[in-house]
Amino acid sequence: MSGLTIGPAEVIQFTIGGLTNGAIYALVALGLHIIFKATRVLNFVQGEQVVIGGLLALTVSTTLHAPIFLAFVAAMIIGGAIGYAFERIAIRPAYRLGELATIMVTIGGFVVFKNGHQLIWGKESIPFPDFAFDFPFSLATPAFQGFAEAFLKATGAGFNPFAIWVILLSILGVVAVHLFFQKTLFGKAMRAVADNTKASELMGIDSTQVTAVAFAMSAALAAAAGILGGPLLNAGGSYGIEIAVKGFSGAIVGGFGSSLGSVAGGFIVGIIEALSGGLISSSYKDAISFGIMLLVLLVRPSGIFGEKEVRRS
Amino acid sequence: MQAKRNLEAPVGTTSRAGSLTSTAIERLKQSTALYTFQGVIIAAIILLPFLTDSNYLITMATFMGMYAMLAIGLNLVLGNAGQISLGQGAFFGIGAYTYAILTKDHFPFWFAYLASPILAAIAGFVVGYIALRLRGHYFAMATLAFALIMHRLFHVLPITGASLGLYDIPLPAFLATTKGTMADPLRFYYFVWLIAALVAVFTANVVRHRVGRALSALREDEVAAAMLGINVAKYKIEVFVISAIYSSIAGSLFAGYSGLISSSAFHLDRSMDILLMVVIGGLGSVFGSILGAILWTILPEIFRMFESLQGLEPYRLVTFGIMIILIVILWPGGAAGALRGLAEKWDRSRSGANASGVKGSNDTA
Repeated sequence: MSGLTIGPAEVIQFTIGGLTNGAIYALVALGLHIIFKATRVLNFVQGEQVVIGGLLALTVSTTLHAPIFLAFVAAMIIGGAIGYAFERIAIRPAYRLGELATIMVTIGGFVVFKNGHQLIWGKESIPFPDFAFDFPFSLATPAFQGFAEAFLKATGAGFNPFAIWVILLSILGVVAVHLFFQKTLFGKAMRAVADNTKASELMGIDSTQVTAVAFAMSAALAAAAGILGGPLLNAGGSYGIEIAVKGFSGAIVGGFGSSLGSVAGGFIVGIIEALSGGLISSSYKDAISFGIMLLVLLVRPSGIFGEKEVRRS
Repeated sequence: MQAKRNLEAPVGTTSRAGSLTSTAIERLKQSTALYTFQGVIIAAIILLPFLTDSNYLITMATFMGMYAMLAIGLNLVLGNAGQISLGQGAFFGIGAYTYAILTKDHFPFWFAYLASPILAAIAGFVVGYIALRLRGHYFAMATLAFALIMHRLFHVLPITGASLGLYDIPLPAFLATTKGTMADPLRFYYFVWLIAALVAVFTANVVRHRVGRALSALREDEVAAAMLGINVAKYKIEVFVISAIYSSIAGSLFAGYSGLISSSAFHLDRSMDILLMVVIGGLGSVFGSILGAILWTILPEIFRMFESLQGLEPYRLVTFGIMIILIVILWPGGAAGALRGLAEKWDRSRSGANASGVKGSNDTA
């Protein structure tokens, strides 16, 4: 770190960056958690759903000249539909063949989705507009300017208005999912199926419907992550698998068995990554964040906030 | 239901001790047609240099041999221990870089060929120890993370030549052309397939004996296997370490053969390719792994060969993904399973009712 002094201001700066990335990882982690709960498998398609979400939003907003928030909603709906269709067409036939077969199918799906979107949108990543100045996300208000200036004066760290939206909207998404599981009948049915599929089927719950909805939900969350992360990650290209592993690291660190644990883990991984990138070396930041996951697997397989869901064999 | 059995219990495994003996007899009586086919493949590998003088074909077949080692290793983990490893490409890289770094530093070749698998075995043990003790399929993600870490390290570490990679990697004299340091295509071809054959024979023995039986027991029912005193985690780690060793051997051969390596050769795509080979070839079958490696190398060539198929070239990778899904769902035995079915049908039609008794017991098992 030649010439650059690391003070509290830099640490705060890195932490804000980490929270922004972490918010995106948290959405991915939550999506992985939902599918894991419903089917007991890891969904390798998740990362590509993130990429496709970003691409869809970009296409909708540029070809239809739709405002970004409409593109946001449209991409989440289309992404969710793709997830639903994928479950219907590929996952459902594999499900009865066992966990191993199902995961293999998601890996096959990963290959299809990745090369599919690269075929349609190309291999290079496409610049994604910073939506923090567009309606309704515009923060160019005096109140926000004042806040940003006060924050800069107090801490020495500035932040991008876009970061606030990423963090706020992903927290909103997480809360919405949480309320869905706790308060709605269908959410409760999903939890019942996750706990005990046989018993919930005997109670009249359509477990196949639950699985399909789980895939749709997590695909929609992934699409949201792709759009929110757009200004950071751009759209398209091949970042999908890395973000899937980051999300998975988050879920493992926080606790794969618990939804809030997965989300918290996503933020933790984001912060660790940003701090290690800023304070140690950006070349090793990915290795460090994945290394943290392996460390947690070693010392506390159920994750920091997880119940003892993961058993050692 | 039949499909499920095929995927979870490949070739000649059964959950009941009582029917084990009949399975053993079946294996001895293994279809003569299948033996013939295996013989044809082996003969083709041995005779290939006499059938063609195209260097391109020999090079392709040399890579096939390396892929076969990688596929056999992964198949041991996937087909026999029921665990998905996406980290085989990383071990391949560890083998390649270890060989390249040591030989470029003028260490003796035997030392480099020995150090590669040892280092890979250590790495495999560490990863396996961390991730294989967990139930469920965390292992797939953990090995994926490992693959991404290693790829990144290969790309940034000064010792691996960072993004430039390493070049002018030496070869032992008996594999090089008489005047230069280039690999002699023929000698290298036979050397690679000799090692691949050793790997195949060793694996077949591992699968048939203690480790293989323990693994098939734990794949059928982990809890029951553990109750019988089988150390589930130990066997899984053992198999994973063996697969890491195979991959690194292939890697050290690859480094010497190509003479230059860079991190892009050890990207995740490599691990995905190996996975595809195993799925195409057939889970849990050594012969299937070799078949998978051969088919996987030939398939793109077929795309290239026929004019009418060339338009499909951009869709090749998407097609591969769809193939994984279709084979897993519809055809879990892969090419080896299909051949076995064909061979058995053929045998039966030749020997009439004689063989159908044996086949019948298989169906009810």
